[in-house]
Amino acid sequence: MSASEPSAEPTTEPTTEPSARLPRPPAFHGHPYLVTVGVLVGLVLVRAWRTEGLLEENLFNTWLYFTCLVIGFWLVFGVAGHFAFSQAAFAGLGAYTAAWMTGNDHPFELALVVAVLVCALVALAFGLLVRRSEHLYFAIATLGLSEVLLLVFHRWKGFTDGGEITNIAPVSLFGWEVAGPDRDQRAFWLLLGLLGLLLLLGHLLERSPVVREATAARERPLVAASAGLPVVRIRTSLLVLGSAVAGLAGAVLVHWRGSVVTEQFGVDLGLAIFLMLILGGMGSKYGALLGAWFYVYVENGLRDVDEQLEGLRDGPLERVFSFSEKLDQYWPIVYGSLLVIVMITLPDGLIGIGSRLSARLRGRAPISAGLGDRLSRPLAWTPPWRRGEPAAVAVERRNTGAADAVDADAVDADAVDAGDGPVVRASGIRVSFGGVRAVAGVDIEVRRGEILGLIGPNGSGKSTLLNAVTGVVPAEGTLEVAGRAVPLGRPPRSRRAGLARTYQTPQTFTTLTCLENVLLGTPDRRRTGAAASVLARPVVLADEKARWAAAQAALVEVGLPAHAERSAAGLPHRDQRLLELARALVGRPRVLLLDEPSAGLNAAETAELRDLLLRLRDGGLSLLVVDHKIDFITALCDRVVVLELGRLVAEGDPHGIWDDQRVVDVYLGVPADAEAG
Amino acid sequence: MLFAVSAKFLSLAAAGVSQGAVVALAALGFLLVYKATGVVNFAQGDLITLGAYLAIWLSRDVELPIVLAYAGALALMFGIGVVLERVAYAPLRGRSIHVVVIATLGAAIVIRTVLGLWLGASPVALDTPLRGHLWRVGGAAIAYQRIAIVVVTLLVVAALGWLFGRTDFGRQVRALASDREAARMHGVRSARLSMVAFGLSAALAGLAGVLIGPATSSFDLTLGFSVMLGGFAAAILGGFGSLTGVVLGGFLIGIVEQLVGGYVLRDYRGAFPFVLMILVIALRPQGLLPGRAAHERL
Repeated sequence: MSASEPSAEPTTEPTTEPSARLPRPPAFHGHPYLVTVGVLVGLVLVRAWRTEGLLEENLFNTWLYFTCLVIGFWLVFGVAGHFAFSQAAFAGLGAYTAAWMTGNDHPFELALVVAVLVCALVALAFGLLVRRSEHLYFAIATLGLSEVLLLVFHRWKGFTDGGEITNIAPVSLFGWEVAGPDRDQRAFWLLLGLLGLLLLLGHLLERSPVVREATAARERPLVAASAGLPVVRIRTSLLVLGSAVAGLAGAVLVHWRGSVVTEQFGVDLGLAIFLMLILGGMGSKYGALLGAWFYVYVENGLRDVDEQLEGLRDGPLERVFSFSEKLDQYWPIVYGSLLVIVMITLPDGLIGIGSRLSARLRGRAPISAGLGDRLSRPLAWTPPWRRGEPAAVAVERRNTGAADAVDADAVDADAVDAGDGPVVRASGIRVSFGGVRAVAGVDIEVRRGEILGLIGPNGSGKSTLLNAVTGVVPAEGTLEVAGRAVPLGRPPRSRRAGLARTYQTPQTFTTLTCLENVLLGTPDRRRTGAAASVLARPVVLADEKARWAAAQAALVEVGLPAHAERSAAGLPHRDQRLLELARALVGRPRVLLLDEPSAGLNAAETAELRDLLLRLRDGGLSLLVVDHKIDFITALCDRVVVLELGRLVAEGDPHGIWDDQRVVDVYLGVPADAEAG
Repeated sequence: MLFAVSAKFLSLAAAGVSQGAVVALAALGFLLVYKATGVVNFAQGDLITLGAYLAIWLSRDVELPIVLAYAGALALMFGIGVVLERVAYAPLRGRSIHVVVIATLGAAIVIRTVLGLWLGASPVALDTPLRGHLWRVGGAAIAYQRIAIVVVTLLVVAALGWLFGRTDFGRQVRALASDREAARMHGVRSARLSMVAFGLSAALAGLAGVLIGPATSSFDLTLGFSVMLGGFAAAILGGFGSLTGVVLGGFLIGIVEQLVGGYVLRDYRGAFPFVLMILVIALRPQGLLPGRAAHERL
C-alpha cells in the first residue's frame, strides 16, 4: 500500500467490516418505487371518480402534460440550477418534430425517438455554446433561444406548416391506438405511462451520484471542481436530459390534441413552468404534480366561478358584478403575483410545507431543496468578468474545457512515487489581481512526509499561493507534483495530481448530508453519469457501495462517524472543518493543503486537530498548512516558510525561525530608524 | 440597376440604424436601473408597452393634444416606476438574482394583463405629429419618426452619460454600486436613490413607447417585450452596463438584421439578433468592445 494512503491507518479498521454496518445513505431511504406506484394508482382512481365529460378529461390530461414538462424542468433548474426559460420551446420542438415525422408516415415510436434526439442535440449545442454563462446571461440566452425556435416554428413551412398543425392523423404506440372518440381516455394512459417513466428516471438519478454531484456543481461550482467533479459536464447533461423530457412531452401532446399552434410554446408557458416548479417545490419531483395541478385547476376554477356568477349578474348582484370581463381573464394577474409572493414566502414550495412538518415530527433538521439557499444569496449581479474575483470565473471558464475532468478516472496518487525529491515543487508562482501583485514569484517545495507551515501577516499572499497551487486562481509559474508537471489554473487537474485542499471558510454543502459531502471527493468517478445510472444500475450500485465505504472510512478517520446521515447544515464549526478534511482525505491525496485549519477552533479542538494532522503525516501524507496560530504551527510543523508581500522571506525550523530578524520584522515591523538606515 | 440596388441598400441600412436605435432606447431604461441597483428589470418591455398605451389613452379617451399626451404618459410612467420599485423591488432587496428576475417577469405579466383588460388586446395605433413625413434620400424614403428615434436615442445617451458622470446623483449611484454599505454610511440615501432610478427608468420606457409605437402602423400588447429582448441582445453585445456599448450593439443588431436579412434568409431575420447574442455569449462574454476596463462598471 502506498505511503500516501491514509486509510492504512489502524483507526479505519472498522470500515473493512462487512458493509452491513454502513448506514444506508439517505438517497436509499424509504420506498420510492412503491410511492410512485401509489401516486400513479391514485391518479387513475381520482380520474375514474372525479372526471366526467370531455372538458374534465382534457383538463386532467393537461395536468399530466404540464407535470411531465415540470419534471423535466426540475432536472434543468431544480437539480442542475440552470436558469432557463426554454422548457416550453423545447416542448414545441418535440411536438413539431414528432408531428413532422408521423405526417411523413413514420411510425409514432420512431417519431418519439427522433423528437427526443432533436431536442437533446439542440440543448447540447446550446448548452455547450453558453456553458460559460451563469444566471442572468443564461436566462437571457434561453429567452433568445426561445425566440429563435418560435420563429422557426412560425416560418419553416416545410417543417411546421407555418406553426399551426391541425388534423394530425391518429397514431398507435406498439399497437395501442391514440384515436377515436375516446382519444382523451387513451391519451390519458399514454401520459400516465410517460409520467411513470419520468418518475422512475427521477428515482434512478436520485439514487445515483448524479443528483448529489449536480447539487454540488450548482451550489459551489468552484469548490465542486476542486473536489474533482466535472462541473460543466454534469450541468450540461441535466440540461440536455430535461430538455429532451420536454420534447417527449410535447411529442405526446401533439398526438393527443391532434393540433397545435406556436403560441402554446411561448415564453409565457416558460415562465408558468417556473411557477409550477417553485410553487410545487423543487425538493421533490412530486412537487411538479402539485404545481401543475394548481396552475391548471385554479384557472379552470376561476372559469367555473365565473359561470356561477353569470346567474347572479342578472339578478340582485348586478351592480357589484357589472364588469364584462370573464374572471379567468384575470388569471395571469393571479399567477404573475403568485410568482412574486411564492418566491418571497415559500422557498421550498407546497411540498416543502409537508416535508418541513414531517421533519419536525421526526425531530430531524429538514434537508432543504436548496432554493432557500439560493434565495438568500446577494441580489446584485455583475457580469462575470467584472467581479471582484476575476480568477474564479477564469477558472470556471477553463473548467468548461472539461476534457480534463471528463476522463478523471481516478487520482493517480496510488502509483508508487519514484525517487525521493519533493512531492510538490512550485517555482516562479505569480498571481496578479488587476495591478496588485498578490504573489510575486514564489518558489516552494513540500517534501515527502513533512508538514510544511506557511506563515506571514495578513495580506502576505498565503491563501492566494494556496489557491494558485490548487488551480483555483489563474497563476503563472510551473508546478510539479511527484516529479510530473501539472498545469496551473485547472482545479480538476491539480486534484488528480494528488493535491487536495480545505478552505479558510469551510466550504461544505448544506443541502447534502455529511456522507454525501464526503462522497463528492471520491476519486472513483466510474459510471457516475446520468446514462450509467439509468442503464447500468447494478454496476452503479456496486460502485456506490464502494464509494460509501470509502466515505464512511474518511468520516471515521476525522472522527465524525456518527454524523454520516445528518445534514451538513446544522454542523458546528469544528465539525464543518473536519467534514471538509474528510472530503479531501477520501480522495487519497498525496498532499493536503489546509488554509487556516485552526481558525475558529478553541484550544482543545486545536490540539485535537494537531494530533489528527500528525497522525496523517505519520501515515505518509505530506501537508502544507497555512495558519496564524503560531503555537499551533510550532507544535505541528517540521519546517516553516514565511511569506511577506507576495515573497518568501525566510525558511527554517519552526522553533528557530523566530531567531531570524527578517521574520521578526515581518510581524512586528521595522523600527523607523532602522528603516531609515 | 445599380441605382436600384443602392436604394435598397440605403433603405435597409436606414431601417437597420433606426431599429438599432429602437433597441438601444429600450435597453437604456433597464441599464439605468441596472447601474443604480445591480438589478435587471425584466418588466421593462411591458413598461414600454404601458407607456405607449398610456399615450393612446390620454389622446383618445382624455382627448389631450398628442404632445401633451406624450408628456402626460412620461409623467405617469415616472410615478409607476416609483410604485414598482416599492412593490416589486424593495421587498426583494438582498435576495438572489433568481428571485428578482422571476419577480420582475411576474410583474411584466401583471402589467400586460391589466393593460389588456383595461384597453383591450386588439391592435392599436398611436398618433404622431410626424406621421406621413418622409425624408427622401438617394431613392430611399425614411420616415421622420425613425430619424426622431435615432436623434432621441443619442440625446438620451448623452444625458445619461452626463447624469452618471457629472451630477451628484451619478456620483451617489456609483458609490452605491461599488459599495452599498460604505455609501450608506456616508449618507447616500439608497432607498430614495433607487426609487428615483426606477422612476427615471420607467419614464425612459415611456419615452421609448411613445416613439416606437407610432413607428409601426399598429401594435399590440407584445410591443415592448420583443423590443426588450432585442435590448438585452444589444446590451450583451456592448458589454453589459456600458451606455455607448449598448448603442453600438443596438446599431450592429439592427444593421445585421436588416441588411443581411434583406438579402439572405429573409424569413428568419428576426432570429439574427439572438443568434448573434448567443454567439457573443459563447465567444466573447465581455462584449464586443475592445479593452473594456473595470472602471466602466458604474
